[in-house]
Amino acid sequence: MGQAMSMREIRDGFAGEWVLIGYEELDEDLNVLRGEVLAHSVHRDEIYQRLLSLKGKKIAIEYLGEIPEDWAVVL
Amino acid sequence: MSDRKKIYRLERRGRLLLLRAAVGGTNGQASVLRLLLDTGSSYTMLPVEVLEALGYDTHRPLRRMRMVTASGIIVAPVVRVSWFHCLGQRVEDFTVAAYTLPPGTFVDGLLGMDFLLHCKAVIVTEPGTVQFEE
Repeated sequence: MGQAMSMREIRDGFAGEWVLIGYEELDEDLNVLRGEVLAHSVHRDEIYQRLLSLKGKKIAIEYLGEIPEDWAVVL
Repeated sequence: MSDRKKIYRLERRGRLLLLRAAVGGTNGQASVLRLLLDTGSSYTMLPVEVLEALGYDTHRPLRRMRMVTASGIIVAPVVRVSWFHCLGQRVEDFTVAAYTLPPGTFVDGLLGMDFLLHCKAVIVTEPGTVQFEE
């Protein structure tokens, strides 16, 4: 943490985790191209709580784990 | 009437369609997150924590709204965000419901019918695209 990384480096370094990325650059589909990892955790709620202490920044929330193909949702 | 269409590809996961969205805060900040496209949701829903981090006061909302969900009736605050950007469409002064989905949903919120109707979106489930008239 503490330095700008490419999205590939972030994916390699934090696979399976939720991360908060202070982004420098997005593509037109709003994917992060480059940014700084500000927080990471396997628990989403820890990341959301950390977000509250990072007010005023441009931040992307990313889940870097696999989303199962059989994931089912009924809301 | 023009028949030109702009097409955006969605992220397909099993039978679900996901996409990325950005929301603006009260003081120039912004958050980018992943949403589930949900035609069963009247409103776009974003996590309470994300909205509070962006400077919105969910304890003093525009109004509170009762919503029927699969797990029962919830009462969610509704706040107006400075802008909401998704699928190449930017909407100023967009109202969203503040509600944090349970852990394990892999997404941060829901893109609801409010945005889809506003932008006159045409959803094609296979291969998973959204079209807009240009």
